[in-house]
Amino acid sequence: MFTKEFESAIRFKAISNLAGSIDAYPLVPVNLIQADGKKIGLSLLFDTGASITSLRYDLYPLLGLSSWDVGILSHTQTAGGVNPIEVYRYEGITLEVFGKSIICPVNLIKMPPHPLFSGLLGRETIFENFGFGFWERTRELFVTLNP
Amino acid sequence: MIESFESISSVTDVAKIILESTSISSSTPESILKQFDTYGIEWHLTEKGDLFIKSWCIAAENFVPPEYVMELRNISESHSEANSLDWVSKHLSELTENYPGKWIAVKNGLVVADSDNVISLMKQLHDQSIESPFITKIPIQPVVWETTYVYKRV
Repeated sequence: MFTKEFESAIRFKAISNLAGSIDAYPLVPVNLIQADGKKIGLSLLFDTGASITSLRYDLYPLLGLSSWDVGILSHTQTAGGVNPIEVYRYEGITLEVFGKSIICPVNLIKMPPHPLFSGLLGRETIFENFGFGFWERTRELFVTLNP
Repeated sequence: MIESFESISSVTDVAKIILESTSISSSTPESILKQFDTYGIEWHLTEKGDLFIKSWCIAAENFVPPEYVMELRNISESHSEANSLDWVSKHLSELTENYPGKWIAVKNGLVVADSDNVISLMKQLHDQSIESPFITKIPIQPVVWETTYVYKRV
């Protein structure tokens, strides 16, 4: 019988907002591995709508850059946004996701700050390395390292 | 292969099926324990080599509505050893009050550095020899994000 098994489940984070309702986010903790091998922990929002993983623009020092806007320029449309915004792409960034080190492209992008995530975990490279399943009713994200 | 939990009455039954499969296959102890992990069965090996499993029993059916489950699970998680993201999540209101507009670095349930920018934050972390911190930016004001996944219960 053909089966798909997931080794771990990540619960969406439930956050009370000022309006008194509950927001739930599929957040994935990752480590950004710097050129000197040091790890910095970040939280990224799991985003199937994003092709490339994006980080807040002001995290550029973690990538060893002198400025956020020295990469390959492109423009992208954001969810709910009216005008395309600038993004700068950087190749060969190492992220540790679910204990697996992955070298992938990363965009730096100006996005509003959120205390619980500093960027968006995109499909390219990242999704190739894992299998994911959503259990929306229980707000859980299932992950397998062996897709 | 076990198809689902639905047709099986308890965790003990699942464990029994997995163990019985050893007699008809060449399963190793490692593969059996891995199967237990796959099905979320907590196990413990004694020094003598006996295998114990933790078994749940139902105390009350339909105890809470499904949409309330996640909220209650978060209460339960607060008793366990939380990671930095959980810690930030649980202390969000005081962090917003104390560090508006700042980048903060969190390690072992403490804010170990804060700054207006990442360069200065990293310098503080380097000077204190703090490794593998979790960092995030605390907004000055609540920011509304529109995401596909946001679920609201009013």
